[in-house]
Amino acid sequence: MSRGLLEIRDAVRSGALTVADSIADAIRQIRKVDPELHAASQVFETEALERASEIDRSIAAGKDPGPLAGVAFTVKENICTRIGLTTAGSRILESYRAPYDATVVDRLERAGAVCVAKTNMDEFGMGSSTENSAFGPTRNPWKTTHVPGGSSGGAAALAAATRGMIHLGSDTGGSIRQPASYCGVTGIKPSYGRVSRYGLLAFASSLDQIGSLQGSARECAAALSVLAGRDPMDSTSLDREVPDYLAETRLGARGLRIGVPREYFPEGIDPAVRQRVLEAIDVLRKLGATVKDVSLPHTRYANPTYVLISGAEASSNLARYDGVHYGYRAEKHGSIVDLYARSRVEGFGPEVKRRVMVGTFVLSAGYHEAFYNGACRVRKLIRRDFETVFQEVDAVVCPTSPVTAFPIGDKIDDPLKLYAVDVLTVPANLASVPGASFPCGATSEGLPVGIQIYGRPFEDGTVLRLGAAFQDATEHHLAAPPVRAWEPAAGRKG
Amino acid sequence: MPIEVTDELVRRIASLSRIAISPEEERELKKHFEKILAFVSTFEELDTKGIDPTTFSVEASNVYREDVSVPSLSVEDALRNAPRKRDSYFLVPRIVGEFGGEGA
Repeated sequence: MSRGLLEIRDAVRSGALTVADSIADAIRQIRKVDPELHAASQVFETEALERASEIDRSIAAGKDPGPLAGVAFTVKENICTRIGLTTAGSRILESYRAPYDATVVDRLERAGAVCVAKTNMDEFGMGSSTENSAFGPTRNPWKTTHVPGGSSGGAAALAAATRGMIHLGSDTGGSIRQPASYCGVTGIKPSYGRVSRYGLLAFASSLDQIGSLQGSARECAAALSVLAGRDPMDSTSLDREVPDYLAETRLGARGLRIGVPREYFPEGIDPAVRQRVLEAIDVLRKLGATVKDVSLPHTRYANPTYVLISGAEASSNLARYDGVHYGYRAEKHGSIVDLYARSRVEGFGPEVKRRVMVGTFVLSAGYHEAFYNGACRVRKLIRRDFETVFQEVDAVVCPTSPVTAFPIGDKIDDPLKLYAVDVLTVPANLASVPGASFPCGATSEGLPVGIQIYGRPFEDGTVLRLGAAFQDATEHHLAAPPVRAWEPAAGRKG
Repeated sequence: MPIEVTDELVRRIASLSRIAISPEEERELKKHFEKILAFVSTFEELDTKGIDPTTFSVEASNVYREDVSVPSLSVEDALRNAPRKRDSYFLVPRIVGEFGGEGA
């Protein structure tokens, strides 16, 4: 079938497609590709088909099924769902059942969408390859010897190998955009405060944001219109009007001013990445956007700032995993402190332990001022860079990652090497601006390249508008990976 | 600021993090800490005097709501994931006194 999300939505609304058929097809697609990808950690066939029939019955009874009726969605393992488990990719939560649905899950369900699966991830979002999952790595549908990126690697791999679904991810330093880039799909990290984080297992609360990975900018726009908005359960979600993002994607690129920051083509960038991104910028120019060089001078401090701030917040947020309230508890222990320490050492993977300890160090007496407060000051400078640039331009355009997907096992032994792939995505989280990755071609090896677009805070619509204009003029987002459950439209090359 | 990563510092951080590490992990962590400190040392060249640290970069300040009670997690739901529980309590090793087994 391989319909896009908007086609499914329209077919369900017109009565040409039942929700049950749509959801059954989504599950068929996931089951077809998952043996090769290891992307879906749980599939909820029975529950999803039951829910689909309920929606079909309410449509038959003349009720409005909602703007996303019949659309299947998957949920990253760190977002709470009442059905199934919520493991965050960690041994410490391997049998955790969330007692409530995250607000994003609730919003999609109320819009008529149906949860069909959960997706694999780097433990607690800490990683850029999905190799840090306690349940094994996910593979890239373009080349199964390679990583899909991370931490939302399961979501990205499924977004590439299937069609027509919404894949919820989370992004603390690039965890939606970088895997979207590596898997050749569209992924948006909305502005901080745009989407409720209630029900997202916190990694770094001032940086975390939920978003989606999908087949196109317009599909992301349709989802964001439902996901966005104030939630009383998350006091950092802001009470700002939610525009019609889909309508905004039809406005075209003409008249928009885009800035290309010279710092975002760093030394060591893959020449093919540079080339594809420059070509994409040229397309935007031809579409009527004004392109100018800009500078974000504090870019090179973003990664160290991110390591310190995200570590500090993680050490605090992950203190709750203590072997007492929920999650894994060590069998053998003495005192209560020993119970905590053994449950945590046995339950957490190596990268999580490293980051928690770096964070503890950053916040500890004697080092707090220099490291944590120091990083928070630099964060302000990074934010000011964006404020200055956004006085001259409406969007910033750059590569999503300096490299493409790498072989599984390649960087896992050197955390710092792995941190380097996030260097172009972490600034968005530090500055709270929206950012999205759009496919813009491939390397000679056939590995996808992503172009990243940043917008002003709460101008997520501008980001998607530019992405949609680009996708209207190009076919990169329609390229089909070797591992897939859908057929490209006739005339398109595979 | 130059910081020497000593064995004692690594042990103290592990203890504060409530993570029981082996001597081998201790050695690895020491190396990791040294690398991280070198990585973040680029900060030193920046003049950040007079800049307020940013913790959250959104404009919202305090967010108030009416102080009314609303339904929340039931005791049963809250305890559902507890590794050990008794009646309406989480069960932990004895806390009073230096040693103790599980429960009273």
